[in-house]
Amino acid sequence: MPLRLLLQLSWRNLWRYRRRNLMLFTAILVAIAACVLLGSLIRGMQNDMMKDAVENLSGNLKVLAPGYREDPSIERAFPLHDGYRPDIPDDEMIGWTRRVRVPAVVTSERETRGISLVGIDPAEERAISFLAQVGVRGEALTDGGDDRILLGAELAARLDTAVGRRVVVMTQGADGRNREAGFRIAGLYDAPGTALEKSYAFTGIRPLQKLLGTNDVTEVSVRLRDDRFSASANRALTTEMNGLEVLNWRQLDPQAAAFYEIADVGITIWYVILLLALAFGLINSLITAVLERVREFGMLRALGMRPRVIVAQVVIESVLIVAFALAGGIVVGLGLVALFADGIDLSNYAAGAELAGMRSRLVPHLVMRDVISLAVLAFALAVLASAYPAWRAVRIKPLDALRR
Amino acid sequence: MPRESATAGIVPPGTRVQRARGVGLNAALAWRNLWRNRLRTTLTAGGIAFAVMLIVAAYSLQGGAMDAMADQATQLLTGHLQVQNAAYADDPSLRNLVTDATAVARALQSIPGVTAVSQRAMGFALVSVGERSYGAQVMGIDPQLEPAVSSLATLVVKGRYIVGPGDALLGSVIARNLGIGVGDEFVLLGSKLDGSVAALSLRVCGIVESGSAELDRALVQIQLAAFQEEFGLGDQVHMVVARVADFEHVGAALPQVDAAIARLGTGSVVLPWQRLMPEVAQTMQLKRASSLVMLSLVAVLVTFSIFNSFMMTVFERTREFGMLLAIGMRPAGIIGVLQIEAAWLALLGAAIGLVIGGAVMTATHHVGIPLGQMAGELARRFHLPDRIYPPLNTSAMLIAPLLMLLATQLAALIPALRIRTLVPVAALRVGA
Amino acid sequence: MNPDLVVRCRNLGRTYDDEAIPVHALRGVDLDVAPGEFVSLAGPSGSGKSTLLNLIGGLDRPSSGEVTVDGVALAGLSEAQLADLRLTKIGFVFQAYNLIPVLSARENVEFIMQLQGVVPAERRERALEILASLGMAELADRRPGEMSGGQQQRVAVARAIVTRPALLLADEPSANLDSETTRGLLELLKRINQERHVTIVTATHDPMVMSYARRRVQLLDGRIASDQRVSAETA
Repeated sequence: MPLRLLLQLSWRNLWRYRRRNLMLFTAILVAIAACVLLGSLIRGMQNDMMKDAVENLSGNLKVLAPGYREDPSIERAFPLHDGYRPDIPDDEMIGWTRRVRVPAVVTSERETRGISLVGIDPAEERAISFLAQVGVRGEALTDGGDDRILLGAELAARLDTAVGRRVVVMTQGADGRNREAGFRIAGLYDAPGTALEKSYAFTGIRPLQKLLGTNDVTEVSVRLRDDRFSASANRALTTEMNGLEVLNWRQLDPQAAAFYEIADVGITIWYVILLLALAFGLINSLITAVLERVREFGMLRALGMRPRVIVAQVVIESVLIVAFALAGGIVVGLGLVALFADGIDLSNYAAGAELAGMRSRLVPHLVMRDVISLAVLAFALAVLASAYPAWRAVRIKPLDALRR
Repeated sequence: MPRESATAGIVPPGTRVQRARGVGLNAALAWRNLWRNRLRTTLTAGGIAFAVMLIVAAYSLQGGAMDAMADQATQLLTGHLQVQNAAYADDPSLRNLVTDATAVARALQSIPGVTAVSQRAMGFALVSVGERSYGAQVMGIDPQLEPAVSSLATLVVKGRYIVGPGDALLGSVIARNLGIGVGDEFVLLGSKLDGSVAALSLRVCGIVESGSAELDRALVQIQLAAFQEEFGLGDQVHMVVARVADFEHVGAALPQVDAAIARLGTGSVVLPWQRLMPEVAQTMQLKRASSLVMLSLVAVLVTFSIFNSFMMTVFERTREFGMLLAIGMRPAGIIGVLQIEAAWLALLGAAIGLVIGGAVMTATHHVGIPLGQMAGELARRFHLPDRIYPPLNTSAMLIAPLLMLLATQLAALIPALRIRTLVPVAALRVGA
Repeated sequence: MNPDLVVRCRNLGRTYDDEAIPVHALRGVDLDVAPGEFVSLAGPSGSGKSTLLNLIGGLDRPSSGEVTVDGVALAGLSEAQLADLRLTKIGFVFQAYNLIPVLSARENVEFIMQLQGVVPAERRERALEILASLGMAELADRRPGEMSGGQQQRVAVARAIVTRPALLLADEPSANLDSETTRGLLELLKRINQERHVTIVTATHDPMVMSYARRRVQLLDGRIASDQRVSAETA
């Protein structure tokens, strides 16, 4: 029997029991649409996590002196020659920057706090880290020579200080002696949803190097266009930075990385659970479809139809209905993703979301690969669900048609 | 007998016949009807069981993880509740003190259910060794009472807990950064309540690894009396920390604590752990909300299949319904039988789901779930232990069957309502 | 109007409009049935005998004319009241699918009494009693699937008369039965007609069923063609 004829027959049979099949279609459609949306939301969450991890000064890759992570002091800095530029092609790299990051104690007129003081080149920094996106009260740093300080708004509140006032910063110099210097507050940055605000202060890299008495840097951070370039970029950096550690964001922020991987597993688990919930109804409906047509199948057998064709008919019906519901579900799911393109407001859970590495606004992010694996799972479901009903259909003997 | 008179034609038109009350044969009829199509019933009940199982498992796992997380989080340092100066939460500075700490502590101890009370003073100071200086969160604690509210004493990896006034317990990272170990001396520099300089020479008695990066990087614990003396606090503290017997009963104890503290009338406030660690409380809410969405979705999908199953059933039995209508059964009576069928189906599915889900989760509770390497990172972030023993969630075992019972009743009712429009003569002819 | 009549039909007409061409199933039928009669409605397919039976049974409503059953005019009754009337005054025996397949013979008989609100002890007793009196005591616990077609029809008769209806309606009761079984069923009907004075109206085209009736009404094209009474002896 040619496939076209089989398809036609199955198609008509679907319409013959349209009420039942409509319900089935709706259920599958709802499940698929939900899978598409929920998958996108989880991916959105994952994206935020990675972005936060990467933008929160990690970058996709970071070069550090060995031991710096355990003991982040200026003693573990490394020199960088003037014309240095990472050996990574432009189409793979968004940007890179050098930084000097040291622990420091900052004192206002009233309070004292321990912080990380980071010397940056604002122009380079803006291309790659969160600093470009945050709101600043007062002024941002102008260039690598700017000797003012940029504080997190929350840190400033704790210090009970304000834009334009002065703070005293104490830290250890390259020679191991303590240095103290006054900084005028250029501005306060707001980075809601990040812990940075409480503990990071920024100033120009050159004044900080001068204060510390060194020309070295403590880190080079690279932001790639896509995390998949990480491996090759890592090799390039390792080669040119002999004796230094090159770390990717997963190594720099293992918690965010663990979250990222759990989300991967989570998507698959939910796809499987939702499709399993469908399986019961699908098998049920297919079996009923077979039993309602005992007469018909018996007659077809009597007319000489091969068992294989009977099986094909049942399987094709199952696949057809899943295929249409899948198509519909993906369309609806894409619509929902578009509908929520502005994000879902989680501000009620902001602190919890932050702990979970999410932002207060969850923006769905559609990944084609997920839709494809969803489709594969759905077709697998369609075929598996039709196995038993098809077997039942094959067992129908020509005589059964007459007995009913 | 009244029935005799009915058949004798004395019943005037419009008089209602006294109809059956209760279920009687209907319950048996419905149960047997269920088995007319074994396969369909098994599959539909299987769907219900699947949903029930999933809800029980999800809530047990989640509840277990969350309770472990929240309780673990409170154990480390925060306690179940704290009494603080009203201004301290927004402005945790040295001057925002609990002025009558002794009275507060006594009031807390007198409340039934409160098992441990400890006082703390907190402040920021500089710790220096030679030329190296780091900022530190200094915490004055009572070494006798503190271990009952905080697990930090059990997390000492080197040396010992605080004993005397010169002892200091350091976070592992800050100790490493300072380059000092147990037995080494260091200087603590801060400012007193009156603004003058506070300086204290201390000896490292122990190193603690709390699992919290923030604490390990900045914590210095010393004796409370030494703190109070050096920072000029007198007998005032910044917080009185309390634990109650059972994590779940914090909410219940709260009104009494509030009343007791209000009676003291010194402007101190009571903060439960949810206020002290909003990120933990909100994570719990967020997780609850998201799994609620997921589980409702599963319930909806299963309801779809129940609906379809009943639609097929009603369709197949049209002729029988025609006969029942002809012999004088009311449509409502037939719908009633179908609803009982739905109830049986839900109970059957729920029973299977509860047995399997209950058994699996009971086993899980005893064996425990290792969080593994990948989850280990998260475990630290969420203050989870390495292995969790989620208890079976009994309320889920009640709610899940009820939910599915309701869903099944609804899913059966819609196709069953079709019977009201059934014309007996036409129904009898169906498929004849 | 004779109050003693069990069935009184006047100028009964039934037209089915749902087809493209209206079908006149009945065209003005007058029929009176007195208590204790055994009437057979005969005629070829489409003659209107089933329609007439359905109208008498309150399963269908006439397009014109009126039906009175046991003194109750059906025209004024709501669907619910019609259901009550069928439950209390009329017993039905259909050609097939007569019993509830998942209930035993006794339970099938009990079921209709349950609808009437008879207490469990009484309905059990009455069900066993009627099955015994119709010679089916040993079938009481069998389900329809475990009985022959004839046995099923006899249980259906038991169910129909256990409520002591004023009227027993049987639509093609022998349709699925062989002649031997049909004879047994008819003997049963004859017995309950004579011993219990149950009024019976049956629609059939089976000559054997007609031969048992003491009054044979012949329908043709929706009208009564003939109406003969047969003496008890010849029946």
